[in-house]
Amino acid sequence: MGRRRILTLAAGLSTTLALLGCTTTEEPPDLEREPKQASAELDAIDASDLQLPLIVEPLELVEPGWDLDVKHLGDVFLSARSGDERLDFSAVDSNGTTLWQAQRPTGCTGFTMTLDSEGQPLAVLTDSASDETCTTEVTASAYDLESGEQRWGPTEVPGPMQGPGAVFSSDDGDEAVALDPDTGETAEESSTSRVLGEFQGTILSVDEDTLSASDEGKTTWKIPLSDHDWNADGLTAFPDQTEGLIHLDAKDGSGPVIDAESGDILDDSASEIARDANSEMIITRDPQGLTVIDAAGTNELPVSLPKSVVLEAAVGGLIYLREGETLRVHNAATGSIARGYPAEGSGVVAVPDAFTSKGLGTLRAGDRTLLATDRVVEESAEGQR
Amino acid sequence: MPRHEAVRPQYRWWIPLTVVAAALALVLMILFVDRGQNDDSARNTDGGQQEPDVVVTEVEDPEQKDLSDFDSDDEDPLADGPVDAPVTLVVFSDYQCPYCAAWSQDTLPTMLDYVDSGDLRIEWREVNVFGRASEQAAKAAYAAALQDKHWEFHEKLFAGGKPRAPEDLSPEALTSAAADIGLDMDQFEADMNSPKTAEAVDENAAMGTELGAFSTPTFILDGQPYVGAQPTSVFVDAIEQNLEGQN
Repeated sequence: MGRRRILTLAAGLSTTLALLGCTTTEEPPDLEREPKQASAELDAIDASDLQLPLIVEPLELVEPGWDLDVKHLGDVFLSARSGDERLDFSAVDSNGTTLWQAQRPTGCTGFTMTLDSEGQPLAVLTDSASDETCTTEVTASAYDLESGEQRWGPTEVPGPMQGPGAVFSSDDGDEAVALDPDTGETAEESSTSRVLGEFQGTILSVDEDTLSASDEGKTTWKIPLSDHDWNADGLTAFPDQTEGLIHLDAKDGSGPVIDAESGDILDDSASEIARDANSEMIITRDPQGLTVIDAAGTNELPVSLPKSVVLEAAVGGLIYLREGETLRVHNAATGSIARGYPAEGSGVVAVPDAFTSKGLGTLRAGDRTLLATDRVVEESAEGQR
Repeated sequence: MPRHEAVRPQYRWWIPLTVVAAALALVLMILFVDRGQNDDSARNTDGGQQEPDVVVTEVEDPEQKDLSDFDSDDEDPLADGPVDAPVTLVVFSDYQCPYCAAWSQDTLPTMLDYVDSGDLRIEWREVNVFGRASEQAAKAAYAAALQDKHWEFHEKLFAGGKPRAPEDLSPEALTSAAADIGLDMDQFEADMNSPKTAEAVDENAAMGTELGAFSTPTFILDGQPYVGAQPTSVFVDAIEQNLEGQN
């Protein structure tokens, strides 16, 4: 074999290998994708090294090992443990019982919860049979949130889950679609409108002039953009969902909070929101400060907050604010500082995250996610937890 | 040995090997970078991954704070009222805070009535949690206070019960406000920019931070904390109770 031929072969090989290196995608390992029913009660953990909110002090805590953000609907919580090989999703109820588990490739972190037209809660998980990063050949499937039984899918979608809700978009963001929670088919939208989000069955879209919500293909309410000086191109939905509410970014990280059912605007320039499912209060944060919205009306708390303060949660009539590593609890009725934790505590503080109307829910303590269950702690002889 | 073989260039076996090795190295590098990017994209694709964990280690608890250690400084230019007044009100405020402005309009005049009658001493602290413009305003207010015009200047910055926009707290805008209330402008500018003023402003802000005054306004009325621009009646009742308890 001549030298030129060898060199040509070597160059060709290197180019081929280089091209392979550029284009290859790593296939996911074999996974147990179909939800496997578990019905296993998680063991209570010893949380004596943590500072726990008073609202969960009498309750047993479990640690499902979740690494992703937790979502909940009704009494069921869903998230996943993130490992090197795969994501292990698990649905756990407020009793601390694992209902079902399913595996996905490590990149398929997009998941959501929605409601079908009969009000049945569904979990929507994404998948890719060919791409561990879950950016190509992405599909979505829906499962009954409590039983794990498949309801529809896998449905091909343009790309990863964009959210909020079952909204998927291509990498370039040119194509975004919302899936119908009943069928998994792409919800029909006019060619001139852009999907902003799916909120438990309500699909929100915007065209040049109007913000529109539709349910089962029927328009439920509309808001003319000109009424609020909103710009169609600048309008986006905040990714975090709060049950019953739509929160949009209209300008510079703040925008309207809209009642998803009625289309009523509750606050027109909120940068953060929290819903207290327990006391049925909505807390919004706008440039002025904190506003509490409940059945009695709107109450502006006389407290101004610098940007560095984060609205973490609202549970049981208390508002949890954080600045850096310090947490502060306010009474939602008066704005005054409230006692949310035992006095003179020490250790990592467990901060409320997603709570049900019964005051059960998840807490974040550093990199740990805990679930406060409806199981009551049995006190030892010394009265210790 | 045939002649033509003698002049034939020697086959350099290491050339194709080097090319292949380089190619393999390139591929490995691409795969490594690709994997790293994939790892990142997996985190950023849909917001499902939790944000970097903040380890919260402290819970603000007013009853845990030792609020008794507020030595009144007779020379404090931001204080008003007798140093031995029966009641002391410490106010933690910020010149960009809407509710501080509202409280200054609604409640401060009533508090100053108590100051005038000798029953109350107000010690004002700017915490500057809203940013650099607040700090600049705090220096200017301190400089105005050195000329005994703190309240006049304060009212200029919170005119109409609203805070100024950050651009209206620039050194030029603050200097203009000082001129409006008839301050000695050379002295004002010297004081506003002096290290001594900066040190005093920093000390006041640090005191607020130490007490966890990360929302404003926050008050300490004879050792008892109050958060937010509570109605005037809350402060009046508290002062009256304190006065009654001392009689």
